[in-house]
Amino acid sequence: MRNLFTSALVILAAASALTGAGQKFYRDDPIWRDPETQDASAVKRIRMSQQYDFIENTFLDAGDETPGRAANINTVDEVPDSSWFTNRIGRDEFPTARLVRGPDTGTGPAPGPWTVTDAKSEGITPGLTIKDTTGETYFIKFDPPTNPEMSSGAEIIATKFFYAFGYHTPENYLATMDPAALTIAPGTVIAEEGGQTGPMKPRHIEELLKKAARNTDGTYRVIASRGIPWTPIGKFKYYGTRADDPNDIHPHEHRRELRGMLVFAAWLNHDDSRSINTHDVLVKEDGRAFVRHYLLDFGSTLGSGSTQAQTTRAGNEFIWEARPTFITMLTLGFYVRPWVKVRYPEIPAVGRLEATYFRPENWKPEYPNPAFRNARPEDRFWAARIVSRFSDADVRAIVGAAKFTDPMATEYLTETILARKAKVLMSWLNGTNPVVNVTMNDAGVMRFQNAAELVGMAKPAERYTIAWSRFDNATSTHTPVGSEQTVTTLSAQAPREILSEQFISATIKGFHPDQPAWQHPLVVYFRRAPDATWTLVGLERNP
Amino acid sequence: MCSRVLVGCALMVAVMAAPAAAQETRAEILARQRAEKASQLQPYEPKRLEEALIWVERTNPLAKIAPYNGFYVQYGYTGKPVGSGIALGGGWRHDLLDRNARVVFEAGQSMRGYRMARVDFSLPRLLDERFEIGVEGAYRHQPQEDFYGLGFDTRRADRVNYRYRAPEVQGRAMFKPADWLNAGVRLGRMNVSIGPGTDGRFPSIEERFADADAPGLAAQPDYTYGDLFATLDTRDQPGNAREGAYIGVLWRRYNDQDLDRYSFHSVDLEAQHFLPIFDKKRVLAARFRMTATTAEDGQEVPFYFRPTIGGGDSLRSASDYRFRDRNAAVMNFEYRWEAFSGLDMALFSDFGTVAPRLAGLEFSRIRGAYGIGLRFNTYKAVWLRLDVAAGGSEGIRTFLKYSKAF
Repeated sequence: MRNLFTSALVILAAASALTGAGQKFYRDDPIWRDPETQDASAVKRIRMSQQYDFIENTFLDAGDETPGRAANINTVDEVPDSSWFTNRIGRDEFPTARLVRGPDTGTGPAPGPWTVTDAKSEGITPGLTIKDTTGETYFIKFDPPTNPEMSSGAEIIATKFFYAFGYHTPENYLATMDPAALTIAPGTVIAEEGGQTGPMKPRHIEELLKKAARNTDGTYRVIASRGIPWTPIGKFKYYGTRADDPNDIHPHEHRRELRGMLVFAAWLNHDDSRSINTHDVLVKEDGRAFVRHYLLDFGSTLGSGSTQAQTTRAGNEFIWEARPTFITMLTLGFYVRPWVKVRYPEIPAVGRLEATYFRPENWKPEYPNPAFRNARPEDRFWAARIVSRFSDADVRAIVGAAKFTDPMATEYLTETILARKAKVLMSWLNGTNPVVNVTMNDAGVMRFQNAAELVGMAKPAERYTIAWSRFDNATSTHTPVGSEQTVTTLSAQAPREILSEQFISATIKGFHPDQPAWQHPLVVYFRRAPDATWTLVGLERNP
Repeated sequence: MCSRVLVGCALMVAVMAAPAAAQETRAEILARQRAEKASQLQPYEPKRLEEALIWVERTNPLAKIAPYNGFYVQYGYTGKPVGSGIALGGGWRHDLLDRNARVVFEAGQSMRGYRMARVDFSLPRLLDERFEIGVEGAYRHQPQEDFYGLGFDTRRADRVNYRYRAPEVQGRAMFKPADWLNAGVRLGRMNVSIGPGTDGRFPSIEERFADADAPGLAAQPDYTYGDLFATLDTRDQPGNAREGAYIGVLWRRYNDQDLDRYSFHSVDLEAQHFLPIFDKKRVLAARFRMTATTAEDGQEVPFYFRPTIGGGDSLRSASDYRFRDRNAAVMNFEYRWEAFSGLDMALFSDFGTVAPRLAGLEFSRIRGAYGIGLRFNTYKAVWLRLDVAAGGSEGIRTFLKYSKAF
């Protein structure tokens, strides 16, 4: 009896293997929009603890670490548009002027007096909330006195980059604030030293401005961050899903755009990529209610640490790491972490950013971000391709938008960002099989390109191998056809006998003496249309 | 039975193989998944620790129990002496006159019976916050102060304790012409009273010492005093310095109002320097502190106003107040290294001496200490310090402090 039952299980397992995972492609694949189909109007505001955010991500292994491909990608390994992400420079033509405009829909606070409605005087980061003469709300942030233009410059630059990548960001404008043109709205209260609140008075603003860099004419260069419309409902975590949001079905640590954000964060040194710097809002639009997810606070990017130049640790080590800590303790400090010795030029408007010591694969944010931790080579490749879309002129124009007074700051920052970009592309375009833009014509000739080669990050491969298969979409079964082909060009002819099939697949591997990761398999799937044309319906990097 | 198992398996295979969803679209599948989730929505429930931390961040309980303005409670109190034990303080404090004035009523009590009460009124924001004047009235009761005798050759076994009590009133004026420079003057009157100590572990002072061994033990006068002081401070973070220097000078004249025996001068000098290495991840820190007292002919410096060395803030191989005389000097050297951003460690070495005459502060008569320490800190302050020291005749000494070494 026991043997019989075991035999039955073996039969079942074999049958399951034969049948694959069921139907693989649907008639609307690949989808490019992942719509929020459920009404989310019942979501409630979530409060988050900054300290707990650090503790759970540093010590409690937050998030699911099960290896696997990203959960929200479409069948051609891309991210559909959603309330999290909108394909911008990665998919569409994005002229430089559009990049420089970023998320901005206007020109910032309207001319005329500003009315202060709130202020943050506690802590080290001063801030004001104002209404301009049109009634629009802006959050005002300042540069530290030690580093004029640094924090505001970083915020402007990073906002434009992250918007171009595809994330939702606030509209951040450079503006000039004249303290003489400020009025305090009646009834405005302020939290004073010790946390007590009281009516705001002009002296509160004067004291707050002592922590800010002041222009020679008495005005202040500020970031005016336009209030995000819609109802704020808290922040998102980089793992799990919101239990009260019916549209949030993909665990965040398995979302491609959050895993791939590691690449963008490394490029632009966004070490403060923590949950505390995110923002969820409940949007009510066209009769629908759904949650939209924003990234906020780019003041701690590039060489800026918001209130001071970025620390040397930033990007090189988590706030807490046991191994280097204990080594440093036990060696009486004679072990010196290598990043401590890195030298930075003295450019106050830049802070601390460099590209010589920078190694993208070693870059780290403030704590182990669960989504970053789960990033696989194909996730990093996806993001690196987006990075590759920025031309030198694009980068120069975006940095120019920061309007640094010191031309050295503009020049150094531009060159450093470009140098870091080259390292990012070198590491992560070559971190897996970089074959892209795969097409097949009516005659069964498949053509493709090599993303690393396209941007000068690698020389051509010595050869590619291609293994063709019939593909049964109903059962997800591959049936190999013919022997493996070897080509030295970027094209291959599919075997004649499978050109009448509805679905065919090809497994492509690249061979390059310096790029072993090119041998990672890339499986592409083509679907034959009634008019006998072939369409790419699937692409799996590292299936 | 066997055939049922096989049939069941065959059915499962058939179900898995059948293209049941062949007509479905990807969008429909995603919509179905969302509909399923919509049927089982739950509110976000933070874990207990998260809930507690959210509460802490929302309510800021420390600000509630120790607000800048209002009634407050805190650990310790102003001027709490080393060795006085666990203490609680509190009172009422508030800005007045639109923050141009401030008043503080404070009292504190330690588990070893130390008490303090004070009231302070100040105008701290005169001349664009460059000038401050204030008056303070205070009462200090310190019933277990340690005394080992005078000089460098005292025995540990001679430890006794005494009570120090001193009501005091003081006026002050301070000028701060630059952020790094502060100078001022204080004038005051105090009524010191010395009595038997209450620490039962050790004899009271009168059991072992007489006025000849401890000048001022038999009778204590009222004092008026005046002092001049100046500080020069370029430290990056005074609470946890990694770079810069500090120099402080204080000259004070004590005038005996009753006995014409105990008038004297004292000069305190303190210099600190912090040399950063590797972006302040390593720091070489040094401090020199000296107090010299002088009395004219026929006058004497009472034992309770003589400077001491010993303890976690000076000579760490010795007990608190271990050595006492007219003059004292201590040097501290620390090599500090950052283990991570919340913890520094330190190797330290201390040297100290006391002498009846200033010229007697010789290196040949010096006591030393060496040790290692942990300093849990923020960027701005050390909040917990554990120093383990050796090098003296008292064995290994451990100090757990809620403040920096220097």
